[in-house]
Order: sequence, then structure tokens, then C-alpha cells
Amino acid sequence: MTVITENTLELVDVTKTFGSMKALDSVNIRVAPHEVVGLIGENGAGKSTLLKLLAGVHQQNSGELIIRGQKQRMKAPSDGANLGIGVVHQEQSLIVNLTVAENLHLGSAGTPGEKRGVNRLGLYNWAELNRQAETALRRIGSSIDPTTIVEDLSFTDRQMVEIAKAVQVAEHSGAEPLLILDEPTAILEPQETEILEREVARLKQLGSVIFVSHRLQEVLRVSDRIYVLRHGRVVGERNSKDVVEEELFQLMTGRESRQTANEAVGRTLGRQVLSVQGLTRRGHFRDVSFSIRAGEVCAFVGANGSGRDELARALFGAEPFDSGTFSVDGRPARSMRIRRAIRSAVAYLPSERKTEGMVAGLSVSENLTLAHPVDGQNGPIQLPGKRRAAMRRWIAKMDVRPADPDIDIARLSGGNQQKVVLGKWFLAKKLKVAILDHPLRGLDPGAKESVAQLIAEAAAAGCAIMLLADTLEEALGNGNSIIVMKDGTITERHNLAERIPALAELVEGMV
Amino acid sequence: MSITTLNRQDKATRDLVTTGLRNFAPLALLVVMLLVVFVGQPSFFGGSGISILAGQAVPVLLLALGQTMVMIVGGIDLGSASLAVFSAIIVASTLQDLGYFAPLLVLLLGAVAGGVIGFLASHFQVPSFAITLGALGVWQALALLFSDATTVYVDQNSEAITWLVDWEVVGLPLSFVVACGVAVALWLVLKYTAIGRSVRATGFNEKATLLAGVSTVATKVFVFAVSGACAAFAGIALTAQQGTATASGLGIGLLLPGIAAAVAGGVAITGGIGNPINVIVGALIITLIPIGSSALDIDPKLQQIVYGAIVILAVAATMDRSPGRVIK
Amino acid sequence: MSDTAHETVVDQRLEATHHCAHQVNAKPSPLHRINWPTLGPLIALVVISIAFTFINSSFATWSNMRAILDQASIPLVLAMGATLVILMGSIDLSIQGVMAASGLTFVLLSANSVNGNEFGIGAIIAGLVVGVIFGAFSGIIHTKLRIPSFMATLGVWYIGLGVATVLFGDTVPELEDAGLLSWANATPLGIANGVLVAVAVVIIAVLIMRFSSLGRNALAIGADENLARLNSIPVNRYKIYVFTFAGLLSGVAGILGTMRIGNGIVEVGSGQLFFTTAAVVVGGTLLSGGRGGPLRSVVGVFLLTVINNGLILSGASPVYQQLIAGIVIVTAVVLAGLRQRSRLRIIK
Repeated sequence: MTVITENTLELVDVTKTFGSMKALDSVNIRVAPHEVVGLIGENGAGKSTLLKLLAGVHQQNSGELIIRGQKQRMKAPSDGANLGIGVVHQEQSLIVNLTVAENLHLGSAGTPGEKRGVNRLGLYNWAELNRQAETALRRIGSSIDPTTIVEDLSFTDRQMVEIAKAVQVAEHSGAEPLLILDEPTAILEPQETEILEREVARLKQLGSVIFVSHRLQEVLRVSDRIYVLRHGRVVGERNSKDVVEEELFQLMTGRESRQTANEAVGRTLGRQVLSVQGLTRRGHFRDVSFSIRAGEVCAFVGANGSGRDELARALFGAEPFDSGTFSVDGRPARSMRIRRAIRSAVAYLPSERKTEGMVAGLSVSENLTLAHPVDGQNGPIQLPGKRRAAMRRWIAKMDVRPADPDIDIARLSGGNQQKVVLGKWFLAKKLKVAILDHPLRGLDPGAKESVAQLIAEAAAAGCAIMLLADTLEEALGNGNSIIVMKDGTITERHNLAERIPALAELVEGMV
Repeated sequence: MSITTLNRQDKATRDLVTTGLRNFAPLALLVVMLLVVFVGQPSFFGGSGISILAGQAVPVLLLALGQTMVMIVGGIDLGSASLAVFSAIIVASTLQDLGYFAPLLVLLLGAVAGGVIGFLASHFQVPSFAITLGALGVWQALALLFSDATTVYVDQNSEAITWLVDWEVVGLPLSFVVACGVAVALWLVLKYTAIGRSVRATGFNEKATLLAGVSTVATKVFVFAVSGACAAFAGIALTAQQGTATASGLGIGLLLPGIAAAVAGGVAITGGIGNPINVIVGALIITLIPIGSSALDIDPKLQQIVYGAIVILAVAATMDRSPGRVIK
Repeated sequence: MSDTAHETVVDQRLEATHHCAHQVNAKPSPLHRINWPTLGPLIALVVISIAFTFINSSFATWSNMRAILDQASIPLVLAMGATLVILMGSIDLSIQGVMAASGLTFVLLSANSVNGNEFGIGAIIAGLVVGVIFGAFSGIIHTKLRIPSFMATLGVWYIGLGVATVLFGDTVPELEDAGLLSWANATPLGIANGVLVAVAVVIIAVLIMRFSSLGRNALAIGADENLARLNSIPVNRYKIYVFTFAGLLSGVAGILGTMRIGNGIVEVGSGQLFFTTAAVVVGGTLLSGGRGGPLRSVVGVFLLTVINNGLILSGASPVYQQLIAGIVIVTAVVLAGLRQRSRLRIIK
């Protein structure tokens, strides 16, 4: 007699749109009991939307969510908890100056009245809290002392507490838990991940697990089956044991034909302007060496934790580095500060436009002149007349709309804001290096094109450009060369003038 | 039109309304208050009422102007009133020996004192309310020390400062006119100079300003130095008005009115926004409260309660309320 | 859009996690808990006490020790409230105003020289209630109007002083209840009652920090307010509770102070804001919140009290007390901030 066990989770033709963008497109996924299912895909493939859907943060626009045989519709994160779904998010949710037991108590499901350990007057029964915490920790096989303050725990242990918290939530419903682990190893060093991988194996006995990570090897090691997402669709489903990695890379990036060279590639390049030797920052990037020539756009690609963001900021002096040197136009530096970088004709465009790029409240012309004075207006006094004329010229050159220098920059569209934020660096007499951190992020296609155009013009004028790209297509479409980083080191270098790599090749270096 | 454009237009309209209110509400309030006083006590305007109002407003105005610069950067200077008292003691004590140099020296000292505090706050990345709270204690203690806790009388060379109160321009004391001049000067600085733009930029978005290469340390030293100089000037004005200086005098009681005047003038405690010229109106409003109350026979003991309430309400009204901001 | 707002918060926390994650890889040794911020003030207290013993023969006498305890009692009471507020990441500037309002309420309801009231214990309770109301008021303004705590409590400080001024009227109300007048200094148990009250308050504060959600939630809110909200802590409610508690203690201090002075005056709390803030900060509780505790503030209070006591014994003017308190605040705040300095850190 066969026992039919229903799937713990089934997504049937689930679609989720944000405005006009389809984040998830007819996704079909199933997770059986006591199975570990891995999810892989590039940035923007839809992984995080899918997880948010399962966590109850989003609702699908169409399609069915079937949990243990029953159709469900989740309206809030607490619905997910009630259905036996526990999530360990990418970002830490533990309060670091409280003990493990308190954090587990805070994270446990149930109203304050139902939870034991703290009575209605708010008095703590530590013996009870510790006991409950121990139970939750033993459940997942951990021997952490519940009286430890979270701050004193290693990051591996903190993740174990997060997992215990999620299991606690999921088991409160009485069913076997479905655990969702979103990049649980992202904050760990590569050598610490072993412990977590063993933990996932243990969790399999308790229930099912969905595991997301940017490290392909890791995902293959811990999962039974994996799904490959691309552009919001499930493009492949494989058994981990039978899989061939090259196939996965192809699936992740699609069977697109080789890209044709972009215009930038043909250009003659000048001498080396930015030269980096052995740059290291413990915990972020290690022994990074590369160089960029005048007029060259070098695109950096990498997944979570690749270290490229920190590298970019270190070169600008916004963040420190521990060892190594780099030189701008031959002048070496063992350390860097922002103002020194700017004096050396280096520019930096931050990835967070609203919080780090533009100064909302100041006008367009004030934002434009924030870094460098305009056309000879060097003094402390900025006479409005001359400046206005100069501003109008710049605004017209960059096609900023509306073309009003005195309008508050917050009133512009994202693309125009980005032009202004980027534009302020062009006021420098001669820009040598421009470090652009995800410059096209969050822009609509038309804006992307104009900003890309500005970047190309800067390169044509002789600037060396370090471009942190959002997507591989962006890298191929804008760069003369591509550097791939993974977990803090450079794994691949490609010179597009010699040979254009396939997308799958690039992905291989990232995961 | 996409939803984002519509949202932006909505926000633009709302911003216009808020800016309009911020610019004109203080003046409207002042006019209303003057009307109320006029109705209750018509003779107020006949005599030297306005002149007295303007003269009394000077110390508050000066403190408020200094506070305005600090608030636009996003900080607060809790020590300025005490620095004013300290400056008053110094100027009163040194007039005899230094003559006309005394007020100049005091202004310089005020700027330096403020600058040091500003440097400590910005270079060491400590909250401005904390460090200026400490400074408040230091200035007050120094004032007591230098005056031996007694009143300092101005005997000789008082002309070096009394010209502020003796002369009048269009019926208003010269001190008020000069203070208004300071307000206009600060307005010009904020609008037309690079440092003024740095001040506003730092207040709006310090991180982006830093990443653009602006020295926020220099900017903060500047505003705190201005605040210190304004406080010193306020002390000089106080001494000129009263002919004496005491460590336990009016000074410390001017802390909240100074802040209240700035906020009533539309300065946002969240930073970036503030018009020194409107702060003149704010100072007049705050000064009108005790003067108007006595003209209308309202119990003066209620003043402090009124100041406290005004500060709370005005700050709440003028704050920038973007989502995601954590308020400590 | 709430989604994007959530994204930004999420991204920021991920960034924060990512950044600090890699600064501490191995499990930190238990030895790191024994460090300067914890032991420094205590060592300083011991060293200074020993120094004064040699410098001034009248320092190490029983009567001077009693005097030190007396001088420390009101600051201890205030420091317990201030510690909880500061741990939560806020500040309470209103203590002097609340002390004045409570003190005057207490005097005017006790047997006094200005009116015919004689409510005895009822007067004490009324004074405490006034403190509670002011504290709750501060908390409500801060949370509902969403203005920074220093602003809210700055306003309440003046409102408190104003209320006290109105209550004061025109003549000084003198406390005439003989029992209450001497109660603070009476020593039925060998130690002055005022000191016993302070000890009781300290014990309550320590218990609150260890065993109640008031203390634990305050710690959580001080560490990361957004994260506390995400963990379902009702942040606004607990902020109001903490400010109410601080207000209650300001009331206790105001009543004690009034008993000592014998009159109801608006200046009853004069100088206490500095002293208390300096004591908490020098004791090792961080102004940014989340780190520190009542026992550290006890050390801080005694450190400053001993310094003042030594100064008085050697004939120095009381003005120096305030000067020292001010310098202490500035120095301690700068030193505490040193550990957390980084290039893009924004502190207003």
C-alpha cells in the first residue's frame, strides 16, 4: 500500500508584479517533506521576491499557494508563522545587547499573554526563559548557553540562534516546519560555513528547508533538488546529485547568443591611470590587484559578498583598507581620505542615490557645484549671475529636465537626479578616475540610456572608469573589460577587445 | 502620467504649502499678537512700546541667530546663553582697561570658544546636545569664577558699548538695527557663499555632503564659532543695556527663549531649513510675550510655561518628517 | 511606497550586519568584558579617595563619610532615572523643573507657612504624582509629536519651572511639618533616611534592569530602535513608561530636596542636571544607548561626590564643582565616542 504524502509546499503558476514589472512569472515550485530545496539565480532573478511571498510580506497577483495540501492566501507575516513557515532573513534580527534566551522569547510566536516566562506585570522568570531557550536550541542540536549575550557570540552561533528562532516560530503551529534560509552564510567566512551546512542536514529531519545562497557549491552540497530562477521564471529544476555545473551557469544566464561588442570596445586606450596592488581589507576583500587605463571602462561584477562595493569605497577613501597600495596617475597611496581622493581628480558615485548621492533640499545648481566649483567661480562668494549662465550650459549639456538650475533636486525624476549627482564630478578640470557604484540602478530604461551615454562620454574624454554593474548585460554593454569577484577575490578578468565571454562564463566566476 | 509623477506633483504641492507656511506664519502670528496688544492696551504703540520691544529683543535675537546656524547644520547649542553671560562678565570687567578693544576681544573669544566646541563635537563625532550641555556648565562656572559671584559694574569707558543703546535709528535702538544687520549678513552667507551652501547641505544630508568632499568638520566649526560670536555679542548688548553684568542674571533664562525664537522663526531642528531674517520675527514674537503680558496685565509667572509650550509645539510643527527617521 | 521604505531599512541593516560581522570573527574572549569603561571609574574612585585621605585629615572620618552619603543621596535617586532614559537612547533634561514642581506641590499640601493644608503623607503622594504626570507628559510629547527627547524634555523643564513659579506665589512657603522636616536627616536606623531612600531606589533600579521588561526593553530600544520594533517590542509604550519612571524619581528627589532645605523654592534642583548627567556619563553608560547600567552610575555619582567633597574640605569654592562637572561631561563624551569613530558616521 502506498502512502501518499502531500507536498509541504506547492507554488502553482504564481505571478507577482510590481507596477509594470513582473518579479515572478508563472512560477511552479514544490517542496516535499524532509527535503532541502535550493534556489539559485542572479541578482534580480526573483529569489528575494519569492521568499518574501512565502514569508507573507507580499501577496501573489495570480496563482496558488498550497501548503500541506491546503490552498492558502497570506496577508501578513504572521500568517506565514501560523502556517508553519519560519524564515531566517539575510539581515540579522537579533538584539545584540540582550541574551539568547530573551531573543528567542521575543521571537516566539503567540501573544504576550500566551508566552510563558514573562508574566503580565512584565517580570521575568529567568529560569523559565532559559529552559525554553534550551529546548529550542537542543531541538536544532545546538549547545549554546542561553544566558550568553548575543554580542558575545560568534557569527556562526548567531545564525544558529536565528535558526532556532525560526524553527520555534514554525513549530508553534504544530505542523512540521518549513524553514526558509535566505543567504544564511553571507555574513560568515568561507571556512565557517561547514557548521551551518551540517545544521541544514539536521534540519531536514525536523521538516523541509528552502535554501538560498550565492555560493553555488554550497547550495549543491546541502540541497536535494535545486531550482534555477531567471527573470522571475523557473528555468530549470535538477537533482543536486545529477547536476552538471556548466548547465546551471547556462540556465542562470539564458541561452542568449554571444553579445556583440559595444562601441566602447574599439577605442584606443591611454596609459594606466588607476593601479591597485594587493589591496586587502580583512573580512571584505583580499589581495586585489588590477589596473585601469585612461578611457577604459572596467566593469566589476559579483554576487553578494563579493567585496566590490567595499573595494570601490576604499579606493575613494570612504572606507578603510588594511594593506596594499594603489596609485592614481602614478601617485602612490597607502591610505586614502575622501578629500585627498577628490583633489587627485577621483570621483565616486554612491549606489544609494537618495541617502548618499544627492542632497535633497538643495537646488540642482547647488548639487552640481557641491564637489567642484564651476568655471572659475573659485572664491567663497558665488555670484548668482555668472554661475547661473554656467549652470544652464551644464544642464543643457547633460539634458537635465526640467532645465531649471534653482529647482529643488528632490523634484526631479530619478534619472535626472542621477545625471546631476554624476554631473557634479564632471565640473572638475580633468577627471582622472570615476568610481561608479551601480550607477544605473533603479532607473527606467530611458534614463539608463542617458546616464550610460554620459559615462561613455566621460570615458571618451580620457577618464578611467570603474563601474560596478547591476547585471552582466550592463557590464557587457558598457565595458572595455570585465573583472569578476567572488567572496573578496578576483576570480576572472576579461578584455572585451580580445574576446567576449559568454554570460555563463561570467556567472561561473561569481558563484 | 505615471503614479510616480503624480506622487511627485502631490508632494511638490504639499512642499509649497509647507514652505509658504514656514515663511509667512511667523509674520502673521506677530501681527496677530500686536493687534491683540493694541486692542488691550492702545497706548503701547503711542509711547516707546515698539522701541522697548525692539531693544529687549536684541539678546534673544542674537542668541537665536547663533542657534539658527547650528540648527541648520542639524545640531543644537545648549551653551550659548551661558556663553553670553560669561561674555558679559568679561566685557564688563575689561572695559576699564581695554576700552574699545574690550567688546572686540570678547567677540573674538566667543568665536574661538564656539569653534572649539564645534571642533570637539564634529571631529570626535559626539552628539551636540551632550557636548554643549557640558559647555553650558563650564561657561556658567567660569562666569561665576571671573565675577567672584558678584555683580560687575561698568564704570569707565562705557561709551565703548553704550552707543548700542544710546543711539536710535527710525525710533529703534541701534542695537536692534545692528542685530538685524547680523541677520541679513547671515542670510547672505547662507544663500550666496560656498560655506553657506555647505551649512545647508550638511543639514540636509550630511553623508552625501561628506561623500562630495565637503569638510563637515570645518562647516560645523564655522557654525559653532558664529554661534559663539553671536552669544558674545548678546552678552555685550546685555551689559550695554543694564550697565552691569551678573553671572546669575538674565543670561541663563535666555536659553529657551533663544531656541524658541529660532523655532518660531521657522527654523527646522532637523536641519537644512532656516531663514535668519524670519528669526527676527521669531525673536519679536518671543519678546512680545512678557512685554505684551504685562501690558495686558497677565501674570508674568506663566511665561516659562508658555515658552516651554511654544518650543514643543513649534519644533513639532517645523520638523522635517521623512519616513524612516529614527527620533531619539 | 512602504515596500521601498522597508527595502531601504532592510538594506541598511544588511550593510550594518555585513560590516560589523567581519570585524569580529572568532568568539570574543570573556576577558573583553573587563575593560576600561567598566573598571576605569571604579579605579578612579578608589585612587582619588586614597589621595584625599592623605591630603586632608578630615576626609576619612565617619562624619565625613556620612556627609558624602548625604550629598550623594539625591543625585543617586536622579541618576537611576537618568540611566534608564539614557540606556534607551534618549535624554531627560527636565529633571530640575520636575523637581521644582513636585517639591512645591509637596510643600503647599503639607503643613506650611502659606496656607492651612496639612495632608502629611498625602502631600508626599501628591508630589510623587506630579512627578509621574510630568514624566508621562515628556514621554507622550516625544512619542506622539515625534520630536527629539532633548527638545521635548527641554520644554518640559521650563514648563515645570513655570508651574513651580506659579505655585510659589509671592512668599516662600516654609515647611512646618516638624516630622517631615527632620525626616530626611533622621537616623532611626543609624543612617539618614534620605540615604536609605537612595539605597532603596538603587536596588529597585537594579531589579528593574535585571528582571523586568521595563529595563530589558529599554536596553533593546537603545541598541536599535527599528530592530526592537521588528521584534514586536511596543517601543512607544515603553518609552512613555521609562520617562514616567524618571519623572517619578525626579519627584522623589524634589521632595527630598525640599525637606532638606525646609522651604519650597523653584531652585530646589539647581545644578542637578549637570551633576546627574556627568555622573551617568562618567560612570560608563553610553549616551548613544544600549550599554551601561545603574551600578555604573552609582560609581559615577560617588566619584563626583567624593571629588566635590574633597574640594569643599580643602576650601575651594563651590563654583569649581560645576566647572568640573561640565569638563567631565565634555571629556567623557569625547572619550566614549572615540571607540566608535568612523569615516562616514553621522552624529548630530
